[in-house]
Amino acid sequence: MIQVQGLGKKFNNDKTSEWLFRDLTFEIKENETVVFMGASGTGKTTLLKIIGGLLNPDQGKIELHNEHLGMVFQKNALFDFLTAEENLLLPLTECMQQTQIDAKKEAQAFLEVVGLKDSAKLFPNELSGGMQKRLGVARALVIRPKILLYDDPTAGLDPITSKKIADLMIKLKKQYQSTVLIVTNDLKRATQLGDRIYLLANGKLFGGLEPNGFLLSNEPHIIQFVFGLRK
Amino acid sequence: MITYVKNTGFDFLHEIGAITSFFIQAMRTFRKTKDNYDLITTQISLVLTRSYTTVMIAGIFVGAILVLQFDLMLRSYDAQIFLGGLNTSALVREIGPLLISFLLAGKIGAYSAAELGTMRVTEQIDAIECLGTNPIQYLIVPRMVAIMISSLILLMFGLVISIFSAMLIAQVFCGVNFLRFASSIPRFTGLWTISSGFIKSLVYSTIVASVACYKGYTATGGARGVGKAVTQASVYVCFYIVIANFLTSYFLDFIYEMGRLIFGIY
Repeated sequence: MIQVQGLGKKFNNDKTSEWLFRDLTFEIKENETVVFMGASGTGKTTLLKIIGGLLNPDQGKIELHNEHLGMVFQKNALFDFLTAEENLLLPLTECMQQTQIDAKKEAQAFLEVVGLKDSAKLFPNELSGGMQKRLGVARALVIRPKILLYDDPTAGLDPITSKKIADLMIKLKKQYQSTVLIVTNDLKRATQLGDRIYLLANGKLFGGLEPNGFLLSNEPHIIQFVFGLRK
Repeated sequence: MITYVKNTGFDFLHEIGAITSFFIQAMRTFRKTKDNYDLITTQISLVLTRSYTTVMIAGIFVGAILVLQFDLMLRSYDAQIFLGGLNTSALVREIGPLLISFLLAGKIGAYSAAELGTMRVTEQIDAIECLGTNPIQYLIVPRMVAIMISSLILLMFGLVISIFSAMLIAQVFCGVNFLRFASSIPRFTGLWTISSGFIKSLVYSTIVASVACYKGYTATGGARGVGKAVTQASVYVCFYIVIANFLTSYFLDFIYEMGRLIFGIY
């Protein structure tokens, strides 16, 4: 379970310091998939990075009942000096302290799960966008996280690859029984993947409803986001 | 004007403090880490293979230039007998460590800053952190230790090349044969000279490693940020080394004089 209370983060540049968001309070149950949507620059990725422990909040606190988490980055953040297989070997040997032989077996198994068994010896720059995304998912999953954070997993992908990634996420979620947080702008994927959907707008959270409820909500910010209406 | 000087001074001190604490953090992590030797030896071999040709070529020409310059001066005093000793002493004590550190700054320092900076802006360092691995332990410590150890190996290699090159030039252009050249070396190049050369090299390579890794690790702002980090790493390293050169020369001479006074050694 993830409990977030009164979370706030300031956006600092050379001259000003403004709140990106503040007083965010929500709770995510075990094995639940929650999607955070919002326009660009509203702080979705920042929120995810705070939950992932990569950034410190300026206000509030987060309680993670299981701190074993994995993250799939928006631009994949694959280790470009390592092959696809080595990208999985690194967390297995460094983080899980597995022996090289065990780690190799496990890496092969995960590459098969994400359909990259034949690309094990390729470097990230030799993989297509969809393959890189699948490798990013495999790398996050290889440490068997109880909480999985996806930062815009279908960004920049064509509709077919986007669907393949979404299907893979659903399959892996069933297989590994993890709590999933997704940040995306893709409404179609959000309704397909999420048990609940939040909208982050004007530094506040709206919604937290199941997909149908979210789409039919009367909340002006949600209507504006869903239908693309101007203020 | 006064405000500008004050701000620049504070920025400089802030930067020195940040780099020093980064180095201390890396060394503390190194002390606590076991089984990091594979990564360190890999980095050492990378540094050596990337630098040895440059060191070799620079070593040949620096040795040659230096012997020609010394010869010009010594010839006018009819003191060519000291050519080998003075040339070797200058190489070991000053030119060698300085040259190796500048070459390391230009080649390995810039490379490390660019590599780490790119990893930072493409979130690879965040990914390492997210996987439960300490990026300082996995990325910084091996690079820092490798640069420091490699500098000593490269110094040894560069000095041997330079001295042989100087001997050859002395024989061909200055009329000082190998034996005459070598006979004066022990007179000017004792254990203290060699030690001070290696101490200086270690200090300078520590500066190269710390500044380059710090600049790369803290890079922000995409490709532009990486470019800025690399430029700053190269420029600042040279600047800090020149300052360190003065300080180390002064302190090593001070220690030498103290030792001579107390123990009466030469």
